Amino acid sequence: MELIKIAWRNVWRSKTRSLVVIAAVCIGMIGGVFSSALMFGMMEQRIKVAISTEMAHIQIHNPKYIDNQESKYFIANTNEYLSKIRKIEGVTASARLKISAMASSAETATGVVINGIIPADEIKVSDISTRLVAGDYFAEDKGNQILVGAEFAEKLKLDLRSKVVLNFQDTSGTLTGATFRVCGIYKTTNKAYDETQVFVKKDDIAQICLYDGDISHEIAVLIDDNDKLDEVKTEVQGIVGKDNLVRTWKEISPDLAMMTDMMTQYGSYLVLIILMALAFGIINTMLMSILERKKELGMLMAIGMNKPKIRRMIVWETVFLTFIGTIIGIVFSQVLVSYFGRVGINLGMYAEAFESLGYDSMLYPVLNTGFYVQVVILTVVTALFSAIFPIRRAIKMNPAEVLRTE
Amino acid sequence: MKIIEIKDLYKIYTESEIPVNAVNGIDLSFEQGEFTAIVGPSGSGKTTFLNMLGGLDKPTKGEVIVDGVNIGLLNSRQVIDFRLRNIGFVFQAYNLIPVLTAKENVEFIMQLQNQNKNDREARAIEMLQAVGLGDRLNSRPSKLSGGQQQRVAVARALASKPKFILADEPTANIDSASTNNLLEIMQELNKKENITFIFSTHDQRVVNKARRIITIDDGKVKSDVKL
Repeated sequence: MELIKIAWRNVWRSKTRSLVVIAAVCIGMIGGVFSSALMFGMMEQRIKVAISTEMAHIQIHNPKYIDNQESKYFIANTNEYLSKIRKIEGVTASARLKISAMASSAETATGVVINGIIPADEIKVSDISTRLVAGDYFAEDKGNQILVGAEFAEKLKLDLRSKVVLNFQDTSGTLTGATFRVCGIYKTTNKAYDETQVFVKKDDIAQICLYDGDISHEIAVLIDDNDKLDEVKTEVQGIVGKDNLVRTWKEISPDLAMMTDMMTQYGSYLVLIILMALAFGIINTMLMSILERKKELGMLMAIGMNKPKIRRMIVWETVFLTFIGTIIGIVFSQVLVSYFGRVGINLGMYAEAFESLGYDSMLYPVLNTGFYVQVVILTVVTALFSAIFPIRRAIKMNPAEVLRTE
Repeated sequence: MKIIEIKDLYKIYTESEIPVNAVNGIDLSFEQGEFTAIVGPSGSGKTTFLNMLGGLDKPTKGEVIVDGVNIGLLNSRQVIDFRLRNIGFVFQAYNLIPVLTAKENVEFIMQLQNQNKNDREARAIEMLQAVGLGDRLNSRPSKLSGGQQQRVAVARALASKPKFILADEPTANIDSASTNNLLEIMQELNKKENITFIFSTHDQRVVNKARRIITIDDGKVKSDVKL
């Protein structure tokens, strides 16, 4: 205890010098932690959009549909699967027909993916209905309505109530088509998605293609807790059998999963690099402090303070120097993250660029407890690393020699 | 009772081109309760001799036997522990821990000996009262005069209940009033508690109080007078 007390008081012997180091650690920590929070926030938003709008947590397909997205590769017994899946706690599901089509307006034509959905079910797994910028979600009593993305609408020069002709193949490979009327225009933060995905009622498509109502190309499953992902996947796989392919969002979009892991590592590396740079400042401060206290350390060794105790005292000093800055830095960072996590940071001037990459230009920084734990571990490592050189310098001293020198 | 025996002690520094014989064959012994001054001109080898006596330096040749233990044969860890339990040091430049109060400075050495807090505190107060600093327990060294700091150093040296106290020029940095005061305290402790004091000094006032005077020159004992 006495050693800790001495170490603490030693830190404050040269207040200005210690405060400079503490301020440097604090500022470095704010920079590292806040930058990481921004990256995590960006990633989390991207994943949130990808799950809640584009993919859901789990998707079920006919395995052949993955390689060749033709209408004939469908999932049979959809209704039975849906009712069983919905019985799993905290899980909702919706079936979709997904057909590649050619969409034409009076102005031009483009390739598109038709999502044939049951609107009431889709609301439970996708937030597309909340992303409307014009018009309404599907009306129950109207047929051949289409919901299009803002990019798609702009490309085909469509407005509300404009007509769109969709041509596609049915399950037998026969070319078929129908005219749809725009009921709503949605906008997500992913331009590519808005340009390629349109939504129609599943019944409308089924009628045109003479589909059995019990088939689908995709079953989307949404879970209330992402941590249950693998557990639910196993359960769902048990329901749909080996003939159907069940994939989590991480498997569907490994790039997103990889980026999440990468961002976590990148955040830690960033903090580590900052701390390592600061470590040299701490080492320098500690070496100066050891040099100034040469006689005192010699005296301590002479009266009987052994090397482990000298080591411990110096480690405590570096720990104090490093941790004070780290703790203040983390507290400040947390205040910044909480504030900007609530109000957001508007990078609207780069909206085009962000949206073309699938990101929102409104950033909400976020940090999880795990990252703080990592930062604390890295700080401990830095403190121990910073203590090595001063300790070596101190324990190499010969008390007889240092006490003799004036 | 003999507590220190020095046999054929040599210290030769070989760092420079010409070897320096700092201690050049000393044979001596010290009895419990001695109040001894080691005198001699600068560079005569007093400090080197004292350092070997305190286990701070290893002899090139010869033996320093304290209470039956040849300290030259102890490894570095053992010798530190030996110093902690057997030898009290008083340095010329006081060398107190500036961030601790007088009481904490005295307590610190007992903490190194793993004594419990209550015993430490009681003995620290007792020792500081013994050196006349009962009213300055909570003063840091920077708030004390040179003489007072040296008295704290004496209290610290005594607190660990050493077999003997080595004092290297203890009065070199303090005024004459403080020197007299310090010497009286040490003399009283020597008489009352039978504590062995060995000083290296240039100070005639210290020499005058000593009951044994050993003169060293060129690393050899020139005279050894018991009064």
